[in-house]
Amino acid sequence: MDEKKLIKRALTDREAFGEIVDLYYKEVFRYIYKRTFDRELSKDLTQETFLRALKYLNSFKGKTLFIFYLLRIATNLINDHFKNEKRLRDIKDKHLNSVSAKRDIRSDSYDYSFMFDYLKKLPEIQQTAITLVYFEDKNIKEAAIIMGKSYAVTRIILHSALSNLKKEIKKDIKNF
Amino acid sequence: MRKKNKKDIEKIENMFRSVKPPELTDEEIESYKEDFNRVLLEKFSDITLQRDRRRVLRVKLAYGLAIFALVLTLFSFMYVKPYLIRVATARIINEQLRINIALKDVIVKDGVGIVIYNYQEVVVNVPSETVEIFQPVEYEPSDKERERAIEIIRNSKESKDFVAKEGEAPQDISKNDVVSIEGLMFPNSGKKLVEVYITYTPERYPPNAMLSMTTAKFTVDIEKGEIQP
Repeated sequence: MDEKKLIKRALTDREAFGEIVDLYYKEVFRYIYKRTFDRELSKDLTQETFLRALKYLNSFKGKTLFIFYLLRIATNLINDHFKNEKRLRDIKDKHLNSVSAKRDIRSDSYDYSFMFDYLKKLPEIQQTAITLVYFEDKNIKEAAIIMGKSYAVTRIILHSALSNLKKEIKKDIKNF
Repeated sequence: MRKKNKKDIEKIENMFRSVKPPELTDEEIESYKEDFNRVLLEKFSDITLQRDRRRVLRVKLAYGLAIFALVLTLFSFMYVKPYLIRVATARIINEQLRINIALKDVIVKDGVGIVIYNYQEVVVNVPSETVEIFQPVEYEPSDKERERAIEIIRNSKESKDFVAKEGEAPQDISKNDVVSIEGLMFPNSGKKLVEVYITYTPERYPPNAMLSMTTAKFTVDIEKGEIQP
């Protein structure tokens, strides 16, 4: 069925909204999980994403794909969640630093949890850009739509994120 | 240095490309989705209801704002514009005729400022800053206007403490006979003044003069309910 018609129906029809959930739940969940690396939190934030999408469904004008609309809501929720946790950030950062320091780092063995520890040190907007482009396989144009930024700004954010990551990794790996 | 930096960034990019993000099994996500569908079952009607309520509120707010803007515009036309014309009229008269006018004495009609001064009507066109002077025309006051003018005079301080000439003692002529009543109307403002002549006995007469009565003229502004100085 045409996505626009389905969304229009979903304004008042629970089953139609259920179809939307069927279509996009996995993609939204996987994106949130890559950003949070926490199953329970991902479950909660995915639920909140869809409920918020339902609440503001009449504001969706269909100018982009609906999945971009959902991912934008998810991004805002994740960023809000991280902002709320900011008070705990210092404690968490200390923990992360100690983990990184203790880690037996070999430049040829990087895994996602290793990268995630460094990603968490970046501002939320940079984390979003990296996750969308490198782990969600979105191109910069699509990432820009989801983030609500222009193409040029998204490129700058991405470049800044990589530069910041380089600095952080170099602190821990001398022969990087 | 720049080349090295570029190389480092490329290295980080390659790290990200080589890293495999954690993937959960479809079954696991499916179970989460089922949980969510149960939540949706409970909350769907509440959320749609809230959304409709919000939409209605938004529409009401938009109407409210539109009405407020309309009232504000009307208010501006009713009060602000006439006030600005009053101020400009007083300024133009002051500049061109060297007369100070109180803002309350300026009449605003059809976008022009009008001042009654010394039995003349001064009409000021504010945009072009032109001043025209008109003389009043005589008219026959109605019975109601006559009665009102007499009533104003009977109750006025001016008639109760009437002084015919400087130095004479004041006398009460408020109950004296009315000899004649004439009306004056100003052509642009439509403002009316009623001239009332009342008899009185002068205090001093020239030697050998016959005892006689003379008249005092009062000019009444019926609209304001007062005697013009």
